[in-house]
Amino acid sequence: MSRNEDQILEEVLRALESSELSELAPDLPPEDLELWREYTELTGLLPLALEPVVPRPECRAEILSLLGSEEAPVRAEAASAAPLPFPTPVPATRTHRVLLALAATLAIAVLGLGTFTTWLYRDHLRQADLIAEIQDRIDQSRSREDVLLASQVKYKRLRTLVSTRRTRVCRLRPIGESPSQPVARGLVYFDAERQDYFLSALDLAPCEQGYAYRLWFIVNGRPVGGVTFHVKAGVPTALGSGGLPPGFTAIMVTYQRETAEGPDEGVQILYGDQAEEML
Amino acid sequence: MQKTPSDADLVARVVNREADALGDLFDRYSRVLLALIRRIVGGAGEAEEVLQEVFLQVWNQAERYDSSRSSVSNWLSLISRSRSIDCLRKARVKERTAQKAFEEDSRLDTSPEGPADVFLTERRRRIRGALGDLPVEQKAVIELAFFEGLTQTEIAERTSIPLGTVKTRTLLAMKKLRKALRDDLRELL
Repeated sequence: MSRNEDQILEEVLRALESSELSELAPDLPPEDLELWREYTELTGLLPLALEPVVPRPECRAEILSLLGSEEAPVRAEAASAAPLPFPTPVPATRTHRVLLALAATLAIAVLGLGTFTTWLYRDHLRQADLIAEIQDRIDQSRSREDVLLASQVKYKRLRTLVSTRRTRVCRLRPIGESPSQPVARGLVYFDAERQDYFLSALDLAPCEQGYAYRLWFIVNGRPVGGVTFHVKAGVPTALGSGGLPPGFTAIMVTYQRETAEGPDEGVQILYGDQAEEML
Repeated sequence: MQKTPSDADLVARVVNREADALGDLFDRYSRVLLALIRRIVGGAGEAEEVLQEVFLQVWNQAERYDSSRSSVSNWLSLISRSRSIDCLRKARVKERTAQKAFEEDSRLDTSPEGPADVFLTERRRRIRGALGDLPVEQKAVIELAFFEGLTQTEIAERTSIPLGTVKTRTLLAMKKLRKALRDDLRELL
């Protein structure tokens, strides 16, 4: 039974709105099928009225590049066939390319920043080592400065002592018939008014381990302890103190154990009981 | 002189996984199809994505093409229309201004015309002539249906015209177009 033209046309339009027309060809008698095909072709013909639009030059190559696999990727909703086993790749677009370029730029920037940070860290370590080395040198210089200042104070004091009119000097010589250190000599400069004195000794034997020299002042026949000192080979002895006891009549130097308390426990090395004016 | 392969030959080669054949189909129809797709989806970037989907679908489903049911050009147009409407509905696309997209298109085809282009240009002229001969109200529903992918119901909603009137105008317009373009349709059948 042949349908009228309006029915066929409505069917074409309905099919056009629902899905792909070519897959919905109805079961029509030959005379109606020809009409159905004419209207179907007409629906495909009308778009030719539009002014053609040229795709981007790379569009063709992009499509062909996606054909590499046996089944070219198609979005799930575009294919009525069975679902693809893998996620559907999306054709590269301008947005994708811009994002890729941004990602590449960001990666390069991060790499550069990492390299720069590493260089900064190493440079920081180098600077820290240099600062520590300079700090060591400063500490050493300060130690030498302290020693020099102490020496300066000592020699300034000595200069003041020996240049004062009231200062007197007592010569110290080896004691006894067979002295243990016959070549040793000493001088004691003293200012009785200021209770200040200074000892300068020559050729004293270097101290053994646990032994030291000690200066004694004899007051009313009894020894009063002065400074204890050590002598090193080749180093002249020069030392002073402000603890000069008043009323002493003689001065002596003994060699004894560091722990000894009185001069009797040691050996008398130098002795002097004559004081002379300096000037 | 080498004979230019027919559209059906190219589709047959696509079935045999010959990528060059798909490239030839692209060269023949991409500009026409892109014009239709752009008219429906609006944006140029989205339109090219849809165009890619169309040709990838052709590559994957070329064996489904039946020359007894439609011409290749019609088959491609229908796929393009279907994919464009999918895109449009899926994205719930913004109110596109088809006319604006049409006018703003900076890549309108101005390339030198080969023999095939001349043939298509002549056909285009005839189709435009047939559309131009339609009454304005009939031409409007045809353009909304075929250039913007609207259904009869959507046309009725947009134009505030009763659905029955839309259907009547569409049927009348289609009958007139069929008569005016009978020669072109015969060539395709």
